[in-house]
Amino acid sequence: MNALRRHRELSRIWASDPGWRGLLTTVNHTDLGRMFLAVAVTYFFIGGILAMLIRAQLASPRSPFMGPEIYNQIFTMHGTIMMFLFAIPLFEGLAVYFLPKLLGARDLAFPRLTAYGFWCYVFGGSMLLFALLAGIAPDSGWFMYPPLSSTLGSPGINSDFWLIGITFVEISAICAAVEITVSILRYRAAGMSLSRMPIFAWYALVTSLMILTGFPPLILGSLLLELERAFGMPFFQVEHGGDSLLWQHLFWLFGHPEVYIIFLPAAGVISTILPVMARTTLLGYGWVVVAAISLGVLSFSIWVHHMFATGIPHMALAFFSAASTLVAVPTGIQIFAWLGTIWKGRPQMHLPMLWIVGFFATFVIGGLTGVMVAVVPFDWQVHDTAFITAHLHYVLVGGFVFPMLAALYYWMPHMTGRKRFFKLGETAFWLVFTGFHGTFLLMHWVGLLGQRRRIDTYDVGSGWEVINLISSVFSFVMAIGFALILIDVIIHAVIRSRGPRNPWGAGSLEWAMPIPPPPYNFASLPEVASRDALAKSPDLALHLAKGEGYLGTPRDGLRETLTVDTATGRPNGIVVFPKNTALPILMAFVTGGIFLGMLIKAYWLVPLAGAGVVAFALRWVWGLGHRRDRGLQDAGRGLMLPFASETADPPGWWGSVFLLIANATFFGCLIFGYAFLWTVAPNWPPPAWAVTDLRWLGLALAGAVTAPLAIRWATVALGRDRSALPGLVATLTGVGALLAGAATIPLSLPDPTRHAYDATLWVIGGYALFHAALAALMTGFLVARATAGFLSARRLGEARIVRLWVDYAALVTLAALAAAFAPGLLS
Amino acid sequence: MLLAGAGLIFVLVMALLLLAFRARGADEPAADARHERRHERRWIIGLGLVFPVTVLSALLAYGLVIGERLLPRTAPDLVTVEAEARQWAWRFAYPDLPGRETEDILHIPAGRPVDVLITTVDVIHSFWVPRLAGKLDAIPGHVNVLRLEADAPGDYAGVSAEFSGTGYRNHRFTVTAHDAAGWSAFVAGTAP
Amino acid sequence: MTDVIRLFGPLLLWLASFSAIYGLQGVLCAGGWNRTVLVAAWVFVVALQVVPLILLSTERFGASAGFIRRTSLALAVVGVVAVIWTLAPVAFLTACV
Repeated sequence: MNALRRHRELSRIWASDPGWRGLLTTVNHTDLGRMFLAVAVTYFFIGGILAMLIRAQLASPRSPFMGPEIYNQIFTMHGTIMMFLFAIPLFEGLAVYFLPKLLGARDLAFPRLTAYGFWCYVFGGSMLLFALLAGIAPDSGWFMYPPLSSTLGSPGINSDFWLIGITFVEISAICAAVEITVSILRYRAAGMSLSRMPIFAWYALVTSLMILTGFPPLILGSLLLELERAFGMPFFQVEHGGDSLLWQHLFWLFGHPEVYIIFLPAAGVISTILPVMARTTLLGYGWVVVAAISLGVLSFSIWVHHMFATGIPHMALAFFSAASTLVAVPTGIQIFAWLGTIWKGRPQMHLPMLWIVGFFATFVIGGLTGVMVAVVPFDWQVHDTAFITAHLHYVLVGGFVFPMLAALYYWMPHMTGRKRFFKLGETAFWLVFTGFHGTFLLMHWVGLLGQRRRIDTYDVGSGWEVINLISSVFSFVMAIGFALILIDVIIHAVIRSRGPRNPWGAGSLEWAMPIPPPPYNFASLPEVASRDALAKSPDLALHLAKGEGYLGTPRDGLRETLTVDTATGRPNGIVVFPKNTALPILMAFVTGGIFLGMLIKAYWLVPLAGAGVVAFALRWVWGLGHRRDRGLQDAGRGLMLPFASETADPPGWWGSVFLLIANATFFGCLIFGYAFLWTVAPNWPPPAWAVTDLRWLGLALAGAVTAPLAIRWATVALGRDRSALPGLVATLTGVGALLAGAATIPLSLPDPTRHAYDATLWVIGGYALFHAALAALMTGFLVARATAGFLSARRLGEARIVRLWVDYAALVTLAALAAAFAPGLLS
Repeated sequence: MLLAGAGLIFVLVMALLLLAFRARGADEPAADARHERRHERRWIIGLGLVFPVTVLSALLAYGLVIGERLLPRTAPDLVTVEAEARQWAWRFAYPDLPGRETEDILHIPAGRPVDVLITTVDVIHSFWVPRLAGKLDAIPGHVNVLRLEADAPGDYAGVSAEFSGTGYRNHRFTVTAHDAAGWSAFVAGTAP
Repeated sequence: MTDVIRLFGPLLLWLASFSAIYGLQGVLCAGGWNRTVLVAAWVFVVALQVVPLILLSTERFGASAGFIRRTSLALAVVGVVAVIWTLAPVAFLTACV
């Protein structure tokens, strides 16, 4: 088979359906990455228009342009859209599009999940967009503090759009994070050990792990606030044992890592592009990895710095002030690693480099003002003033938008295969850069003069008029700059000016393929022996096109790629990907039914849509696997490998592990919330502690022992070519006992609106019930699979996956029962 | 001082960046391991690690010391007042003068430490008199204590500094600091 | 996967210690302040944080050589620095105000 025939054959196998149908049924990461990026950029412009409205309003005092009712919606939606509908999805789009190419693979770990995440983002974002256009958008600020955002301060539907719409969008982020983590750990080129990974992969790995642990606190908080608004469960109402500070803790437990989730991918982009612009390698690759991991974990210990003015004792504030200053060290290491890289290289001022210089000038200022506000007494003056608004825009625009614009100009030739025609980019840069600093630099000063944030106008004679007018004028300059970038991109898309294959002379694998990229990325998969593999073998693209890598011969029209050992990069399995399907968009649509039902208070829709999701999920999973063992397959270059479904830890097992990490974080936050309310909230203890017949607890304990043992028995039986059915039936019995035990929690507290204690235990009990039910469903599914012949001694990955969920259900049911009944038993 | 320090660091970083672009001889020695390690030591350890750690620990220590000084400790001539916030006005009470209440104007003596007991009846607000102290939030169900002291008699403008809805912009109050005679008159009820 | 645990483990231990000390400070302020208990707890978590550093430098638990070994040891050192720096206020700041 020659290169051209191979290309045609692979294109036929991997291509998405043509036309509009392709959009709806694609599972290809290149297409989905582009779709994510396009929608994210659209939201950027919507958020930008809202910003223009804010600046138009604030340009002069006593402006009659908007009243506070509308203004409050405008600034709330500006922040919400930029943080949730632009920044995170842009990272997702970049990662989805580029990671397989950078890593030398043909797609991400779970292509249908990528599509499902995309459609959840689109449908969830549409809810918010609808609210904005209908004038019923959330209006309590993007961090939505209760009681203002709850029934007391916002009785209308506005807050519900935020709580429900954003949670829907977060499903997309969690899906992407699970997938990116598994892809980076297992879906790489042969020989690509961890130390040979492109630096962007390290940053993406840290970012995804942060999403898995940083988003659950917000998902929990949103759930609790929505339950309070919809059903009167008083988590944040102090008269009934709640506390509004709980929301602040949960929100900022998410909110601080969120800004590092936004910054780290941009830092990854800089670490990738800057060395190429300087025609050298990154200085201190190992140090940068240490810095990225440190930054990722340290960022989870500084959330209270958003709460310095809430009356928390000084010693506690000191912990967070100390941690907030410490976090500047790994940031500084990266900055100086980058500077050192330029010094040791031979830099050229191409347009991506210009944006990186813009990043340095802007982000460093933002970082310095950040260190200032980490000093508690200083923050006590500037908290909630325009100084903070200025700081956050310096770090977010300087630290995310500018690097992403560098990424745009760096990778646009790759995405289109063309070179730039007009040189609008440089003009756009200067307009945006000057416009940005003109808007926000003096804003620090007006904040120090006392201008608060979120005010819809200010008094004549306040002394703030000139600075606000300057801000507004320069914001229009910046807007013109962004418009020029959009025009530049459109011109690039329209004018076919073919560009060279590797215009920057980069050494990373994404340039070792034809551009624009074919749907299969690599005609055969590379073997790498170092970082920057392309730099070491400049003819790599040619060799791969000729089929000299792995999996160079398409087999039975299947979409295949390799999985590797995490540490060493040694290939250890062949993965078969699904074909184009409408299942993801349909399932996202039905998932939307759950959220829509909550939003419009048509509560009958919620369990109905939930059942629909279950049905689709069963259909989804049923399509995997095989009814007979197929043994080792030829992977090319003389290597024989099993299909991943015939290994002990198939990708789905890994996906479950990381999903369970996110899940456990959610549960941990729930227990934290319980402990917090108990110790800090006024009006405790509750009227009565929950009590139940000890026999139910005994039954649950028996179930918690039986179910995990039984599923292991079933797995061992499978391994010995015996029937798994006895073990699975025993598992079901154990899980049934767990269900009964978990049900005693809500049954022992008839009124969840009576006190925050009752409400919290309903959520804890509901969580345990949900997982016991999930374990039962999965075990039942496994019975069906065993009967249909999908399981065998080699094909027992599915049983091991269910084992994870049974174990988890047992653990959380025991924890939930302890949390619910220990206080009553002890007192 | 913070501004000067930050300004210097910014200038340093930008200088390093711009100097990195200086024209260099076309025949640089190929980067070898020794050169790489020297660069690593200078940039990453020297500038990236030692420099920030030194500056940040000094700054942190300074901040914590100042924070300690601002805490509401016991004092012999302490006056206690109560500030109750609601959407969108302030009500002040004087525990030492039972039954006395004022709306939107807080009376305090100048030159003596004052503890403000901050509460709210509805949503979260914040008590902020920029010229007298930092801000402290009014959280439902909690009483937060802010220590302030006016060096000289006069009127000091105060605002709520936590977004609280459509009336947030004008949620203001004034603090009137009286000299000794004025404060006696206020306590006796003979002055407004 | 073991390498992932080696890399992230030390700092995750620090995060747990940090949260525990923050929680303990809250409980002591609510129940009955005792700085000795808090400082003792801090010393304990500092000592605990040294354990991964030692383990990772052994042959049994540490990575065999090269990149993962260096990186995991560096991160373990960061963990020790972090537990000292971020929790030092227990020793000398005013309690519960």
